[in-house]
Amino acid sequence: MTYKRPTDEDLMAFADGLLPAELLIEVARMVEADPALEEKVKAFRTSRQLVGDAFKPLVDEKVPTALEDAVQNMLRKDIAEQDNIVAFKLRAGTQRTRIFQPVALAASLAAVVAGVGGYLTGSSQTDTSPQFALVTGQTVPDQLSQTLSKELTGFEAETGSERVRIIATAIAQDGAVCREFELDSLASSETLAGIACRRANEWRLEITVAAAASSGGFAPASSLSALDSYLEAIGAGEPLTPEQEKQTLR
Amino acid sequence: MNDIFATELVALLPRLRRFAISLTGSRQKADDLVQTACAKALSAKNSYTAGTRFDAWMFRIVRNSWIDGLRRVKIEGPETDISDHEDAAKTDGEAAVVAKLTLAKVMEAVSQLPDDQREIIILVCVEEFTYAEVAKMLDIPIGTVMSRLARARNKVIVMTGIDGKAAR
Repeated sequence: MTYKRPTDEDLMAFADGLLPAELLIEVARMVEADPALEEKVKAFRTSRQLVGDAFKPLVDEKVPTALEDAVQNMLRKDIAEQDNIVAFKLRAGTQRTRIFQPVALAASLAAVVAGVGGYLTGSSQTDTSPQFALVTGQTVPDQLSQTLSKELTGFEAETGSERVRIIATAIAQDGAVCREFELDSLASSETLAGIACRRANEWRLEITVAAAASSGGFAPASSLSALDSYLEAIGAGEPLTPEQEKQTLR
Repeated sequence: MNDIFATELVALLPRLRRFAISLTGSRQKADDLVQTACAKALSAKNSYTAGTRFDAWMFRIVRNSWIDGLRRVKIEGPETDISDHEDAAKTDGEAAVVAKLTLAKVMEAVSQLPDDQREIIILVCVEEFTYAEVAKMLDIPIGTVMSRLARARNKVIVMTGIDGKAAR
């Protein structure tokens, strides 16, 4: 052995049981022979013990629901993508053709935001042609928020002048929970289909489409391609299964 | 691989969160950090080599995410929520009080260490990685890990008044 006295690093490694074998005997002998070195080794040992005692119990804290949910959502989304399923099946048994029409969408935006936004606050729409509105950022009214937060896909209820119907749930690329819903005006034959996403516990509208309802009450498929485009744009994958949906909304 | 990845990631969340709390000094920032790291891990999961330590791979991502981004918004000054253990009120007896005060002092001392020393003392003394594993995780020589760790522990020893005589 060429050195005369072990360094702090050697003593620490000795205390941690991580000293290379070739130094072990030499250092052990020196420590045994020198009370000052022995005290240092003990202090290193104690420091490790106390730092461990202080921080290790943090692992017993319950992982906050918001964090766990966000991670679970990412994983669900990842698995869905892994399965290479990109179709967002809006209704059982109804496979819609995906038509990406960014130009039509963009051209339609500016003129209709105000009109469609009005629907949600009670005003009526009489134009029967499909209209699209990107309304990102607009907060969803309380009653609809509550419905989106707790009701499962397939839920339908009349609330005053409108009938609300939940169509599907999916997870966006950023982990936000997104739900497609439809609102039928009971006073007119109009239907508004929309997507709202929940971020930081708040539902905000992402896009809405207003159109004359088909005879079944559902928004006609031809008017919904904008929603498809939008869902693709935000990276929403396969709609959640009922079980996944329950876990996500709990 | 996907299911295993998901299972391991979820199982690891409490430890990732513990590490993140010790890095950030705040539970809220820790949760943001862990979420960011999980998103990065998912998008980079092909870079994980099966058969290697998944926890080390994830800790590296948490640590790098912290270095890359969230540290920039770190609020100066000590955070106070780190030692708010849920059982803090259930003290009994002088020995328990003394032990609690000692641990609080240790936490405070660790929180005052430079970032590059704090991450290493936590990875070794709390997460129980070896020096070599930490060196690989942080892309630094093992000698650097050891010198930073020895400095960090010497500071904790001085700040908390630990000495060899008190060793258990």
